Amino acid sequence: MQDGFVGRSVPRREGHDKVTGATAYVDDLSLPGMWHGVTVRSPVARARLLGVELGEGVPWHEFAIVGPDDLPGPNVVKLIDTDQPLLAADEIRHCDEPVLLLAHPDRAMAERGRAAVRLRLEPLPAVTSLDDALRGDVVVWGRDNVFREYRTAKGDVDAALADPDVVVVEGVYETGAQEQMYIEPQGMIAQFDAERGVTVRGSLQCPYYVHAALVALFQLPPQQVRVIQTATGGGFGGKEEYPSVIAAHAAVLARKAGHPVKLIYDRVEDVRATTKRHPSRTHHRTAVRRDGTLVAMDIDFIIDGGAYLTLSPVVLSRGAIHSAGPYRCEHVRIRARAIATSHPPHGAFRGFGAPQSVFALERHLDVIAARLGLDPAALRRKNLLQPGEQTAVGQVVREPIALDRVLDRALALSHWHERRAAHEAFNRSTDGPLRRGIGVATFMHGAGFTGAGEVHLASVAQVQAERDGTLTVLAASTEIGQGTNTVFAQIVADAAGLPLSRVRVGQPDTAVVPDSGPTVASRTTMVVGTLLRRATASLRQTLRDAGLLPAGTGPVDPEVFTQAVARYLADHEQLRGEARYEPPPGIAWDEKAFRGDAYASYAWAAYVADVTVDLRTAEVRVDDFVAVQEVGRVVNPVLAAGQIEGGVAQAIGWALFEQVVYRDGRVANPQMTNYIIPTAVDTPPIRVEFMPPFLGDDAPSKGIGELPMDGPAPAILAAVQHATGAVPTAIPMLPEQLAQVLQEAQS
Amino acid sequence: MTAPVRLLQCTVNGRATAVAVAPHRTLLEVLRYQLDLIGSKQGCDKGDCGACTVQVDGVPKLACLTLAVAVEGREVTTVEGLGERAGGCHPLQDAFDRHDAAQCGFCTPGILMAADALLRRVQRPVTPDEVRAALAGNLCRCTGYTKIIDAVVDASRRLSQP
Amino acid sequence: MLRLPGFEVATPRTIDEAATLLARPGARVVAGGTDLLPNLKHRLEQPSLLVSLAAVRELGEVVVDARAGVLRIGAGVTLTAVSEHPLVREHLPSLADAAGRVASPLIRNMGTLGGNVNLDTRCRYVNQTAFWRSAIGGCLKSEGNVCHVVPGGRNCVAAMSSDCVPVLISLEAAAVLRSTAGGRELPLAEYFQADGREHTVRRPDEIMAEIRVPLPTGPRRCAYSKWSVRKSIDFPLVSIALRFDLAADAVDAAITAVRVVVGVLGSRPREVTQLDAVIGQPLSDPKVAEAIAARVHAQCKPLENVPYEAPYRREMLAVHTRRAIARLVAEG
Repeated sequence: MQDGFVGRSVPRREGHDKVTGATAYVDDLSLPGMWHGVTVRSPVARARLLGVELGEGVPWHEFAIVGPDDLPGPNVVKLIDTDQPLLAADEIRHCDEPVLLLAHPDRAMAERGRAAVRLRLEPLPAVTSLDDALRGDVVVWGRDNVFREYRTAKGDVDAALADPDVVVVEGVYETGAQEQMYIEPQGMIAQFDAERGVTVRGSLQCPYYVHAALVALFQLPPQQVRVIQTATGGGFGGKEEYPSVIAAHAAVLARKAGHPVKLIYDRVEDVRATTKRHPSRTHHRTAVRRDGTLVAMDIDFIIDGGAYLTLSPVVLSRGAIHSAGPYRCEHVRIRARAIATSHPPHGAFRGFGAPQSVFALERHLDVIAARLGLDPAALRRKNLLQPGEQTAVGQVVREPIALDRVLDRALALSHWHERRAAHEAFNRSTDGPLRRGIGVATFMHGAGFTGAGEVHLASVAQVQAERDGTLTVLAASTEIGQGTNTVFAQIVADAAGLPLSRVRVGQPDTAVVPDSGPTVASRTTMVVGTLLRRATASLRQTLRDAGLLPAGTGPVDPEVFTQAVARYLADHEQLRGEARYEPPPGIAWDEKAFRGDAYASYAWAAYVADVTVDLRTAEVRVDDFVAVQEVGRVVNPVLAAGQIEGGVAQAIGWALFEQVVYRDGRVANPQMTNYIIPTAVDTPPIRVEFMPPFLGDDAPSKGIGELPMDGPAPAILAAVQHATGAVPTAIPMLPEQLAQVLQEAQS
Repeated sequence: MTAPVRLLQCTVNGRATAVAVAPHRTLLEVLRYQLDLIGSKQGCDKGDCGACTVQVDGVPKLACLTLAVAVEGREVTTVEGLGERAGGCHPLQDAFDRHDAAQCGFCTPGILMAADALLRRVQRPVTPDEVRAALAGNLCRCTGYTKIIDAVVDASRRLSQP
Repeated sequence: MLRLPGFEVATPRTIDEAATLLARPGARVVAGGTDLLPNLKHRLEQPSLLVSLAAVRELGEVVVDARAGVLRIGAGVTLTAVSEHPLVREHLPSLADAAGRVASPLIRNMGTLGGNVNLDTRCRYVNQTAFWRSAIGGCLKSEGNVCHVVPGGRNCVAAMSSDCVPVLISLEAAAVLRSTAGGRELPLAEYFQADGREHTVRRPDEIMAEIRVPLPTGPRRCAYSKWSVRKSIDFPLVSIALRFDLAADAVDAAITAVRVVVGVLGSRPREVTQLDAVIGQPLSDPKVAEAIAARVHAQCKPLENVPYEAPYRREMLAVHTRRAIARLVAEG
C-alpha cells in the first residue's frame, strides 16, 4: 500500500464554507428579474378534474399561468414508465398532485394567487391501503393495481416445507412510510431562452435525471438543456427523482413568464407532495431444522408504490434480492410485488427497498430463534454465507468473506454474551418496570445499480489537467453531505501521485461534466471513484506516451507534472483522461429469471442494539449501539463513520419515532412539529467500526451510504423482544403500538 | 393589508445597520433577503428545526419566529458574524470542520449559534450531555449528532485553555 | 416559505400604553411570538395590529411580595428565566421544572410565562396550513362548523397544551390582567373555559401583566410530570401537576392538602377531585399514589385532538401520576 490520501481522514473539501455559512444553497441564490413560482395541488386523493377557476381579487394578468395545455412537450414525468403527468389533466390520482403552476414577481402575490385558485372536482373512490389495493374492488392502475411482480426460485420449496423433520415458522412483518426530512426543502431556479434553451439550478442528487426529463419535455437537443447542482442540504434519496418534477415546473413557468423562476417548496408542501420510503408487508414461511439450519424460505414481499409507477420496480427488485439476507439456504422462493394505491408516489430513500425486506427477515430469524430456543446470534452464525456459496438469487460469492468475523467483532464490542446474561438476570430479579435486552442483525447491502443497471448506465467520468498543473474532476456525482468531493479528490490525488491541493472538484453542471450516472445506490465511491482512478491513470499514460512524464504510478513532483501538462497543452487543445464503466469480468444478471449476479459487490455488517424497555409506558430507550461492517477499503474513515452514524440515527427514527399518518390518502402530519425526527437528546451514542477488508489492504472500496439503514430497526426490535418476551413485528413502533404488543403478549 | 415600511436600526454582526422593513417581516427574511446574510437557513418556518438560529444580545433565538422590528436597538449575530468575531474562523467552526460535524451543512449555522451561546455561558469544558441539552432545539438529519457533540466538546476544551 | 400576513406592529414601553393600543379594533397582543407567529403563518388569526410587549420592562420582573405572601412573576419573563430563577427554584420548584421543559431551549429563550399561560389551544385538525384545513372543510376553530374530533360536537375541544398552567393552578396562582378599564386579578383556576376557540376569560383588550404565586406557608412537595415521544421540542401529550401540603417536612408526614391538575385533555385543564381519602395519610404510603392515580384515570379522558391515541395517553396519566409521586417520596 502506497502512502497516499486514500485511507486518511482528510478534512471535508467544502467544510470551511459550510461552517462559515458561505455555502450557497438554492434559496440563497437570486437571478436578475427572477419571479417566484408556486404549485396548485389537489386537496383530495382521487377525483375527476372538471375545471380550474381563477378566483376574484387577484391581478391574474400579472401572473404566468401554466396548465397541462401550456407545456412545450409531452405531459409526462420521464422515469421508467410514462404514466405520471407533470400536471394532472383530467383525473387526479393522489392528494397534492400538481394541477396548475403560477409565477409572479412578488412571492407574496404568488401565494395569494395559489390560495385563490378553485378546482372543480368530482370525487372518485380512492385506494388508501395495501389491503384495499390487493382486494381490487377499486382499480387505480392497470388491471389489478400491480405495478410490477418479480418471482424467483431455487430448489423445491414446497417439498422442503412439507419435510416432517423441519419446523415451519411463519410471520408477517410491516414497515411504514418514512419521510427523508432533509433539512433543506426542495427547490429549483429555472431560466429559459429561445436560443440558448433551458438552464436549471437546484437542490438535487442526479443532474442527468433532471437533464433527461427536461430534454424530453422541451424536445430540445441535449446541449440546449443545462442542469447545475447547487449545494444540496441533504437528499437521502428524496432528491433522486422528484427534482425532475420541480425543475420541469420551474422551467415551464420560466418559459411562460419570460423571466427566471424560483420554485422553492415550503416544509409542509415538501412533506406532503414529494416521495417517501415505500411502506411494506412481508410474509415469511421458513423451514428450519431443530439445530437452526435454514432449509427453505418462502417469501412474499409487497410494497406500496403510491399512485404512479415512478421508481417502484427498482425499489422492489432491490428489496426482493435482499429479502433472503446473507444466509445459506437451499430452497428459496421469492414473490415480490409493487402495488398501486392512491397515496402520493413513494420513492427513493436510503436503502431503496432493502431496509424493508431486511427488517422482515431479521425479525423473522429472531422469531425462529425463540421458537427453537437458540441464541439469535448463534442461529445467524450457523447460516451465514461462506465463500463460494450462493445467495438466494443464485449469485456465487467470490470474495473471501468471513461474515462470522464481522459478527464476532460486533458481539465482542457490545459484550453480547455478558450483557445478554446480565440482562436476563436483571429481568428475572427486578420487580420494577424496566427490562433490558440486546439484539443483533446481520445483513448485506449490494452496492451500485441492481443487475445490469450499471451496464445500461454506462457511466463516464473524466479528469482534466489545467495549465497550472492542477486536475479538475469532471463527474456528475453530487456532494449532498456524504463526502463525494473529498473522496473523489483523495482518489484522484493518489492516482495522479499529486498532493490533494492539486485536485479540484467542480460543481456538477451538465454543460461541463459527463454523465457519470446518478448519485444513488451507494455507487459514488465504488463505481464513479473507480472510473476516476482509471481516468486519472489514462491521463498520466497520455503524458507518459508523449514522453513528458516518467513511467510509474507513484508520486510525481508537482513541478514536473505542471511542466509536463504545460508542454502537452502547448500542442493540444486539452488534456483529459476518461473512463467508461466496464462490468467486472464474469458478472451476469438474468432479469427475466431474476437470477444471477445482482450486484458487483456487497458490504457486510452486524449491528447490535442494547435497549431498556419500560413495561408500563412501553417506551424504548436505545442505550448503546454498535455498528460493525466490512466495506472494502475505507477511503476516509471520519467521513465514512459519519455516514454510518447518520444512517443509524435515521434508522432509529424509522424504528421508534417516525410515523407518516395517512388519512384518506392525505398526510395528516406534514410538519416537523408532528412528523418527529430524533433530536440530540433522543439519539444514543453510536459506536462504529470498519473491519479490515476481506481482500486485504489494497481492496477496492465498496458503497456504504445505504448500508446503515438496514440493520438498526431489526436489531432494536430484537432487543425489545429479548427484554420483554413480546414479539413486535411492525415499525414504526411508537409507545402506543408497543403497549398493544406487550398487552397481547401478556394475555 | 400592507403596513408602511419603517426603518429598523440595530447592530448586525458588530456593524450598525439601518434597513427599511415591513412590520410583518421576520428577522430571517430580513437577514436573508434584504441584508444578504444567507448563512441563516429556513428549514421549517415555525420553530421546529432551529436552522435559522441567530443570537440576539447573545441569546440564541429562532429568526423565523422573531419579527424583524423586535430587534430594534439590539445586537444580532449570525453565523457570518461568528467567524468575523474570531477574525475569520471561530474555534468552534474550526472544530466542526475538523470533526466533520457538518455533512450537508444546512443545519450547521443554526447549531453553531446555539453551541457558541452554550460555550460563552459556561466558559469551561462541557460534557456531551450538556451539549445534547443545549442543542435539543436544533435538528440534524445527516450526522446522528455524534460528531457535532464531539466538535463542541473539543472546542470547549480548547477555548478553556489559558 | 410560509409567510406572515400583513399587519402593523406597535412596540409600547409601558403597560398603560400597551393597553391603549390593544383597545383598537383588530389589535392583538404578542410577547415571545413562538405560539402566535406559527398560527399567523397558518392563517388561524389575521390581526391588523400586533401590540408587542417586548419593550415593556415592567413585565420582566420577578419579586417576592412578602406582605402578600406571593412571588410575582412578570408575564414577560422568558421561560428560560423562569426555569433558572433562584427565587422560583427555591420556592416553586415544580414551576421551574415545567418552564424548563417547554418545547426547546430556543423556544424557551423567546417564549414568556404569560405566553405559555395563554398558549392557544391545539388540535391535529387546526394546527395545519390553510390549504390542509381547506381539504377537510375547516372545523369549529378554523373556517368550518364541524368538529372532526367529536363528530357532531358543537363545542371546540382543542387541547390546552401549556406545561406551566397545570402547575400554576396546583399552586393556586392568580393572574393580573390590565386594560384601559383598569385591572383585575383572578385565580388561574377560574381563568380557563371549555371552549377551544376562546379558552380563557381574558378579553382581547386585556394584557396579562403578572402571575402571582402564593409562597409556601408550610412544608410541601410538588411535581410536574410531562410525557412526549421526543424528549425535546414536542408539546406535552401527558401533563400532570401535583402538590401535597404536609404536616411536617418529611415524606412520611401526613398530607394536609392535595391538588392535582391535568392538562392536554380538552380546552380547560382539569382539577382532579375526590381526593379526600388521602388526607391524613403519609405521602410515602404507596396507597396514596395508587388512590390518586386511580382518580386521575377515572376523571381524565384524553381526546383524539392531539397526536397519539387517546387510550394510550389515558393509561399513561395513571402511570405518570404514580411515578411522579414515587419520585417525590424517593427524593425525601
